[in-house]
Amino acid sequence: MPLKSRLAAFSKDKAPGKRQLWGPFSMLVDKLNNSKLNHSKRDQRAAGHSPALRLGPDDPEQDGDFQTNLPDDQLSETQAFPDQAFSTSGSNVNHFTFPSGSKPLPRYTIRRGIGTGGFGEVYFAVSDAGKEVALKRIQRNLDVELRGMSHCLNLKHPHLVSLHDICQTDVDGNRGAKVKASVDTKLNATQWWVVMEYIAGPNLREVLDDSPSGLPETEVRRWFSGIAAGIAHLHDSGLVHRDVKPGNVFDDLGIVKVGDYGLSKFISSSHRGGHTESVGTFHYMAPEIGRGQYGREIDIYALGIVLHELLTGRVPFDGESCHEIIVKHLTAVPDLSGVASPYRETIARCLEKDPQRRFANVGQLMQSLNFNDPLGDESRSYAGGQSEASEPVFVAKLSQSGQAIAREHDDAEIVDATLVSESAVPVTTEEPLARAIRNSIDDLGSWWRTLDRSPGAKALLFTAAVLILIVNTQWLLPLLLLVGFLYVPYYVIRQMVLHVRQQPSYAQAQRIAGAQPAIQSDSAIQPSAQVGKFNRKQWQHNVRSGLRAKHSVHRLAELNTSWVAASFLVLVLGLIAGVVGLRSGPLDALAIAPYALVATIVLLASFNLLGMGKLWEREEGEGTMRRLVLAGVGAGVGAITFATSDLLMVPLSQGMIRDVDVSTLPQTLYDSAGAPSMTALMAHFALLFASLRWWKTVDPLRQTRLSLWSVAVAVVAEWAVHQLLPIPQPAGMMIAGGTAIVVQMSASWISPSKTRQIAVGSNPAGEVPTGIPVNSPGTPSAKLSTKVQAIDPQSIQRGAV
Amino acid sequence: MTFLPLPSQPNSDDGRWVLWVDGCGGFLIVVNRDVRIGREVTARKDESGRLDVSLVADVPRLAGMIVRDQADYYWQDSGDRKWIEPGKRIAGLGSAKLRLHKPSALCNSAVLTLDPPHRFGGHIDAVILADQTWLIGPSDDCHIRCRSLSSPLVVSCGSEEQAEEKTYQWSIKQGFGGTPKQLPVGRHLTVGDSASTQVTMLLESIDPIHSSKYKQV
Repeated sequence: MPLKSRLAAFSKDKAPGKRQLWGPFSMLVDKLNNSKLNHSKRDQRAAGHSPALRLGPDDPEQDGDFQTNLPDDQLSETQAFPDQAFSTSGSNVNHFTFPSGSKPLPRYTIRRGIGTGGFGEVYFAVSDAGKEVALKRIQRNLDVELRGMSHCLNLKHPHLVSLHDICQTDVDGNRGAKVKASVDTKLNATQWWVVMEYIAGPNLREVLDDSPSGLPETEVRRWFSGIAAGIAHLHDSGLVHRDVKPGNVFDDLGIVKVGDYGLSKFISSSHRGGHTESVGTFHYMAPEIGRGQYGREIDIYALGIVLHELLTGRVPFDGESCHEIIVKHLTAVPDLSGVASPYRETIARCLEKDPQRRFANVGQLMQSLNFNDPLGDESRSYAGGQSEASEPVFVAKLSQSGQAIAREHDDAEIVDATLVSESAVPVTTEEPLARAIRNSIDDLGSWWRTLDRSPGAKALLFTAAVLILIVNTQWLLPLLLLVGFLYVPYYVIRQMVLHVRQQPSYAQAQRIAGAQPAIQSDSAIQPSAQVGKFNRKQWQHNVRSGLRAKHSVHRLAELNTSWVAASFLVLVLGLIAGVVGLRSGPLDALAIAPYALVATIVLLASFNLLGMGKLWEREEGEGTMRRLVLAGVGAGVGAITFATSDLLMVPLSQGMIRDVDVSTLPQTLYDSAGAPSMTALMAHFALLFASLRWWKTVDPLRQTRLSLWSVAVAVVAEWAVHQLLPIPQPAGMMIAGGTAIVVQMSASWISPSKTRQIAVGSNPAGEVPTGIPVNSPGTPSAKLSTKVQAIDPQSIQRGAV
Repeated sequence: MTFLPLPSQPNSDDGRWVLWVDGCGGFLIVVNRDVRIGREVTARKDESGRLDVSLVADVPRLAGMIVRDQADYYWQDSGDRKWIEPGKRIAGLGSAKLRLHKPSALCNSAVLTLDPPHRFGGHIDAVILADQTWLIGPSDDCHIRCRSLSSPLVVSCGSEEQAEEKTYQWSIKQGFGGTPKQLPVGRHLTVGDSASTQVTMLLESIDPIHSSKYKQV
């Protein structure tokens, strides 16, 4: 799926009629825009033209909001809200609908607003009996929220915020009705409330805001073990939180609690396959969420982000826009330079783009951090949760034997359900006609095997089929040829189009990039294979990540630059060739025409190769398919060569350097004078283009800008093809060599040494690595990552190189 | 000089309010110079009425008294009067860790906080021992920290005696140079920088009967 499409997947509403969470990309952008609008409204208020005084609906003078001049000191006053006279419309100020002292839900008196989230307002309220609760007023995404809440209503865990009840009131707000088993979310005339445990302490977001460089390690362990225990309990209950972030983690008088799991949903294959809503918050959003297929791996991913933020005070993927953040989630390698072991390895694995390469469960994650409680006593999770406790409190998820995730049977079931089905995300699309023919042949084979019990009938049928074919050869062969003529170009063009449109999936990209960790690890200790202090493959992996994230506009701009450069180079090379070739003899149009033809073909071939190379630079790619596409490009170049030669009246029968016996040439490809036909030229250039890995010569990550070896190989390949399908020479070799020179000189190239200089310059500390994926603790690559210098993939992405 | 904690009913000079600030918290505002601290007793209202600040903790019903003397605060229990060092735990309250903070050097007002797992009675988050002025703002040098505000609000308390009855009048202003506005009791007030986030607050009197005597301007 193209990157653009994957981004669009965040915003695409694949299930019309379903309510969207606030996560989808477009909605989030809308929210951002709305916030700007709100901001503008506030600006207008500051100018003295906006509502600053809000009256209750029973006010004798006003029937709702009205405007008044704002005092110059920006203070504004609201009249007291009489009890039972609440406006259901949101307040323009602070977004809290119900003021202190109101009782929109019977038996509960609101004392103050706590905050607003994606689903509605949250209030601190006190019951008539004095019980402190948090009342969540569901305003948006009603069905999703209530579904999640009702699933979680009976969860009990010391590290989860308790949900007490779900209640509804009528439109007047003075009648309540509890909800039991089912939740009718289509009652628009009701106001739904979730009664939750009130958390008196701050949330982790506030704590981190006060500690911009991260928390002390003991606090990190206290917070993270509590979060992990809560999330693990959700997972054990078959739920995914889906919105793990610091704002949803609270310090409840010393006990870390995870809240706001209203987004939770049961893990199931059906939900996984059918769920289409993007969830969570950008900074903590796993890359596969855009596909709409995810499981608890997204919580593991978010836990990795949170752990990174706990340790460093910042999220690993940040940006100036939501678009940039999402792209980084999709493509960028996290900078774990400021994180010590074993946290670095743990975070790296949590942030794997491929969900299957992350930790399978929270227990494994915690074990990698050595967060173990030898006693396995769940009661210690309470004691350990106290502020002064330095002991980790991740015990709730430990079994009696101290092994993480107690019920293996259940766990296995969940894992089966959570693994992303690769078949559900087709990596390559088989050509439909070929697939239909293959299926038909398979069916025919199956039917044929059913005749094994009647060998006589089989023999009879076989004989009849052969006879029919022989009798109908006269029209069957032309038909097959016609089909072949139509199908082969169609197949080639289809492959070209697919390559244009296809982007690797997250898992693909990660697999491609990290396909050979062992090789990387091995070569990492060979100085000769290093680029600077990087292993070359690691460097390519790193920089390739930046290339994947490159914006299409930047890609197009680079391609334009390459094309301009190619044009200039062709002009120069053509002039040089002309000066050398025409230094003696007449200088007329007939003499110049062959040079013009060669220059035109070189230019055409270079344009095509540069364009394809720009599309292919995102990944290493699969050779066969690229060769097939290049064959199509070559065939096109051959056709245009024939047309151009005809236009310039350049005789193609001359210059057949090989001692060609005209009679040995295929008559369908060559005329009686030995001049190649259009088909011959198409076949010749198709072979030439398909035989060489031209994408290597235009790859920005090639070793040197111009490799004379590549030029020589191109010339030799042309000579080899010429032996099979001759064309005029030396024009053919000039075309091959010239194309190899032009594409290398004009294609963008990232110098490894220059990259390293820039990266070091951008990292004044210069002491820690960035961007190297650490696959597992103790691997050579992990060890290397403590030594190597930094390359910033983002500098590549920004086109800094 | 030795002070003895004397159980007493709130007199006419007693000034206590609760300030509810949306998105921020609930705060008990005490303007008395002597602040009685003790265990919250819900069964006997008269017992609770003798306290200015109640703790949900295993402490005596009347554990002691915090006395403000100029810029300093002292802890007075059955023993001697002791100076309270800001930020340090007040001794003599058992497991309850009560701390007094003076976040701003610009005023003598202080903040009482209680470490987890204990809480104040009355569903509040902290106690403001108000002396003329105190601050609500985004930074930790404010008595009430409200992160959503972009600049501090200065709250002032004035009092006057009329017919042997002391009345209080609250005012609030944006920043140190703003124009003071009345902070009415029992009415919602929306304050803040309109260019960023505004907050709504409600100042309530502890005793509804008491609130009738406050002047509404």
